[in-house]
Amino acid sequence: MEVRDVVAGYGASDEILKGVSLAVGERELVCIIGPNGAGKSTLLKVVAGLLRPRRGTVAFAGNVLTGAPPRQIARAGVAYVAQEQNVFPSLTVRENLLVGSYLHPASAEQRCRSMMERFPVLRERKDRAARTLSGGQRQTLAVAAALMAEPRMLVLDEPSAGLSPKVTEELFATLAGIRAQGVSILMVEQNALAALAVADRAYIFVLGRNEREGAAAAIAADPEIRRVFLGG
Amino acid sequence: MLDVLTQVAQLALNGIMTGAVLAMPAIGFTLLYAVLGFPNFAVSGHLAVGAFAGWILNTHYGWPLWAVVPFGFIAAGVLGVATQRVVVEPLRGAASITLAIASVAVALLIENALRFGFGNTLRSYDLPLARDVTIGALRFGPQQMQTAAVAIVVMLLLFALLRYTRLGRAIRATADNASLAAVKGIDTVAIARLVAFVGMGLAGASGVLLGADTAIDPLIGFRLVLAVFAAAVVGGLGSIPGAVLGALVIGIAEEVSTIVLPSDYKSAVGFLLILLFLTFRPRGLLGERRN
Repeated sequence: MEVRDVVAGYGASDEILKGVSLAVGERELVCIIGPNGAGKSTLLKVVAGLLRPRRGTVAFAGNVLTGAPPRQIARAGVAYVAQEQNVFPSLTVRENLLVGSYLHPASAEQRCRSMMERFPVLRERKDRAARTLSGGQRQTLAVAAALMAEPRMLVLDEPSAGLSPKVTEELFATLAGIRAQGVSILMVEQNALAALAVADRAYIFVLGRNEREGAAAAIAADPEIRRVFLGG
Repeated sequence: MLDVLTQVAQLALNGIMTGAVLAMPAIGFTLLYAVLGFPNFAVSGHLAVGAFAGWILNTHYGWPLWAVVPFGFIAAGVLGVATQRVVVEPLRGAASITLAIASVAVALLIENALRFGFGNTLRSYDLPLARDVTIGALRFGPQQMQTAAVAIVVMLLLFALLRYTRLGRAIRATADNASLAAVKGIDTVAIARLVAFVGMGLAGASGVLLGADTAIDPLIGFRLVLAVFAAAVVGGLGSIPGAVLGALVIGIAEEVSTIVLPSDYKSAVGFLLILLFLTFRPRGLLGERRN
């Protein structure tokens, strides 16, 4: 995935991203950190096709996907998990998983079974409406439903938001396992230290621009960055 | 005492039959609301188009009712897709009140086009006369029983489609969260058009059934749309079984109200029920609590 000089915003005069760039290699886990209003979530919406950039390009696996509809981006192998409203509340857990595999109907049932084996918490609640799940269960379902699409790349917006430290730890362990299976991950995360602990590389955005980038371990160890962005 | 009980039972039965007539357009209305997110009052115009399309085939070409009902469905459904593309899609992102007002405009446009083409006179389908069926002291209209049977079959088919098929899951997913559905690879624009076809088609088919039972004119849908809206609200906007239940509640309430109210006022019962439900139970009888 390569994002180059993207400018985007929601209103006509509103420019949240002022020319950001990043790259995610194969089997890489990359996280974006930065203060509120830096444009982190906005960039993920551009990548997922939910927001058309005014300038710049988004390319994935050699195909230019700038401004493509979400459906086409999903077909290209990118699965996006929003921070909120990332499951279908009136559909059951099983139905959410099946819809996750909408583009691969032939293998949907079989993948659904294996996903429920992987995440027992979902198997135990497979016939319950997603709206009845707790925050952690819902987040697990959202990630599992994204994996149902057999993506080459997972794009996650604040996956640990609202989760307890224990559930966050489990979630990040799951993400590390997913990456190990060959899926690239681009993640925006408020829990920066925990995210940097599992990430390969990281970008820091400030006010819609690239501020810093580098190996996650180096960023986490930089005293200046720790003081300004990681709360000491 | 027995006379009073018989009268109440007959009125309740009439109410069920009225509800059966309301159920199909109410299913269409609620389905449209669930997926498109606004009350589409253009069902009234599409109902009239179905009624007139069926009337032409029946009286000019001698088609029987069983063949005319699907034709009314298709005629109104195709028009529904056209209005979806020409009116609703360009307004994507507008507030639901804007879309609701636009749908009223569409209804007025269609109804006046029909008046221009056919005039305001009442027209009847050319169907063999059938006697009422009598059981004890109660009378059933055969046409109304047919309408009730069709409404039940349609409800079961739609329910099965939505619950057990991949397409049905895609429709429900789009109704829940259209942008999330698009991220999953669902063509939400095509789903909205399909729902416009089915929803307006159901209104058209019910126009044929209504025309076969009474008579038609360009305002046949306009007179019914309040009761259709009331049925959908009472049942719970977006719930298909709710639309059927709501239609029965409205039908029975309207008929039974004639014991104490002059029958001219029975359509006020729909208003009253909308008011009561929106105040005390906005999600209706079977509507789901939205997150």
